[in-house]
Amino acid sequence: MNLQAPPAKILVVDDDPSVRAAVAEYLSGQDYTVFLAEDGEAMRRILRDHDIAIVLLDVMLPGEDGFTLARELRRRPDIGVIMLSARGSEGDRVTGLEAGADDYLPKPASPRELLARVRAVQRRYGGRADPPAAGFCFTFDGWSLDPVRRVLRDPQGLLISLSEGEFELLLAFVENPQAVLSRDQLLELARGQESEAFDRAIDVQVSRLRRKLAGCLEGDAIRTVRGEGYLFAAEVSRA
Amino acid sequence: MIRGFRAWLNSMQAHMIGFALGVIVVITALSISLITIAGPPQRSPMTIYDLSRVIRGLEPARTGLAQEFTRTKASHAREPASEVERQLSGFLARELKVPAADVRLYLGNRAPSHLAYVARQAALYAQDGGSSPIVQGTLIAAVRQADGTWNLYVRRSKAGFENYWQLLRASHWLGFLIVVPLSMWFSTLIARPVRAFAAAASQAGDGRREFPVPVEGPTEIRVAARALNEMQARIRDFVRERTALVGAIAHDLRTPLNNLRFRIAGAPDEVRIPAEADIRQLELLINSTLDYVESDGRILTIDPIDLGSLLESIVDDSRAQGQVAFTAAAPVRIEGDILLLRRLFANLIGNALKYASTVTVALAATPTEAIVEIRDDGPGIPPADLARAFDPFFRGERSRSRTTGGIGLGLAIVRSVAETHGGTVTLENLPAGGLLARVALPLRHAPANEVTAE
Repeated sequence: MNLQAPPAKILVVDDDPSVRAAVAEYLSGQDYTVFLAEDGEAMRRILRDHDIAIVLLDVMLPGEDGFTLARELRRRPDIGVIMLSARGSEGDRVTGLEAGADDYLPKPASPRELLARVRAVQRRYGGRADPPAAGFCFTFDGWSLDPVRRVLRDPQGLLISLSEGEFELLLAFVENPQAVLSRDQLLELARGQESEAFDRAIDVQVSRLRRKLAGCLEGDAIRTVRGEGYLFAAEVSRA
Repeated sequence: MIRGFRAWLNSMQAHMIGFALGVIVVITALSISLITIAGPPQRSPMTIYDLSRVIRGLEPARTGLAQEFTRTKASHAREPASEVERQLSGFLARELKVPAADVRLYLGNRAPSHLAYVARQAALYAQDGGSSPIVQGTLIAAVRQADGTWNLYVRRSKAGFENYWQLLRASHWLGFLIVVPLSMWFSTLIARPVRAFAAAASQAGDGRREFPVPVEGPTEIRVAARALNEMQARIRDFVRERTALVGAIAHDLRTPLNNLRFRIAGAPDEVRIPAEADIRQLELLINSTLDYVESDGRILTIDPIDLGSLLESIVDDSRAQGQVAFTAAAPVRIEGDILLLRRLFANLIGNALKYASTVTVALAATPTEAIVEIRDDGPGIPPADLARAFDPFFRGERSRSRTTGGIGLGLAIVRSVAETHGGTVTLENLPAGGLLARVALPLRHAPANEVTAE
């Protein structure tokens, strides 16, 4: 974050005034400029007039629901979208992320976690030009990794389960294929995904991941680069 | 009207009436045919006097008696063989007022008892001058004519079945022998739909799943089956409504809880930290409630799943909570919904880790089922609670404390998920202490609600 820049503008879209008030009060205290909207109509009005960085979007809204609005916001490459919803099921999370939200937080959300996610989304929009990772899979050598559903499929369609640590590690690899990644870089990349379970030694995680990817590139998908780290050898495409 | 009659015809009442009538018809037919085939001997008793009137061409007292006789001629007639016949010949000669030598009377083959009776009459009547004993059955009277030929008067009566009464008595037993297997067969026929209905009804569930009872068999059973199916539907709706209500309440708690979190974010630590712990507690309760609601009504997404990696990843993610190990005999792939199965095993493993210090998870497979056994070294479950441990909102003694207790939905979710996958889950206390949770899941997915033929 650039401390010289004016405070980022966040728009909270929620039909419940108590939620708007509580979230606004907290985020204002964290040096954000907070705007409030109760539905899609009000959201568009504010987006026209202000340079909003992040929209916090409720799902159940009168009129158009949050998923619809997220799809609409996806067409604006400059705006980050975090959904904050009382609908907390896995299915809702997947729907939200596939609609194009950058993140999906179930209510009741911890204020600090919300802040961390807001900062992560800000980082993503501040640093990279990449579109957010939404609604696609990484594919490599017939395998596919769905970052939204957190599911790894082998070429026969069999679902291989990954622990949280293995998932974050594999995500770091497929986002940076055919590049040597040091242990520190891997730790940083995986932690950047807000993983709490990533506290095990990288080498153990890598060996577990290798076993699960045993059929990929004849077991040679993750190569050890002596003295430097690891390299994900497969060609990765986004589908 | 016609439909009503058809329905009645198909009823057990009609079947019973039909059966009773059938039995009566069978028994009666049996008796009638016995009488027809093996009737009693035709006795047609007549006095010697009546016989003399027939021979003389006079009208006998019993009409039609004369027609029973046929007349023929013979050149010769042998001497009567028995003393009875000789005596009877004498009586007849006296009635005909001709010399005894000109009359012969032969009796047909009679039962010895009958012959003895005739002999007794002859002896007694002869003593006091009587002359007209009664004779029965087949007989031939021969009277010598002036030209020396004999006129024969022959009456043939059916010999019949001498032991006729015994036969009649036996026919009752015969009827019994026919009717007993018949009624056994029939009662099985009537009982079969009742038994099928009872079997289906005893499966009819607790509202979590429906077991439609086939509407077939006699009318009464059809009516009962329809009523039972409707009742099951009502129970299911009721349970769904209740579950949905619980879900809605839990859901609506999330927004105020969310606001509470944000409102206390700025509070001093001594207020904020315990308050956040309370909120987290509430959140866990809400989440498990919503998980249960969802696991109950979720539409399954069926994928082929590598069960070993699923269990291993849950075990890996659970290591922070305690000592947990995973072993697999061989790779096992099953078909199922990965999110629900993850929840199932995460609940069981998390549950074990709550009460025990060491947990082992073992995966094995039979040709049709995957078997997952989760053993812990904890205190187990009191035997009295084992049966109810899977009931929603049931909280055993061991989970009542606030630190470990949920709201009693963890195992309910486990059972619900196992059953929607067509599998089972059982709990048992290990002899050496600790609890064994055993999950069996079919390797191939078969919808649990499908009605099978049996």
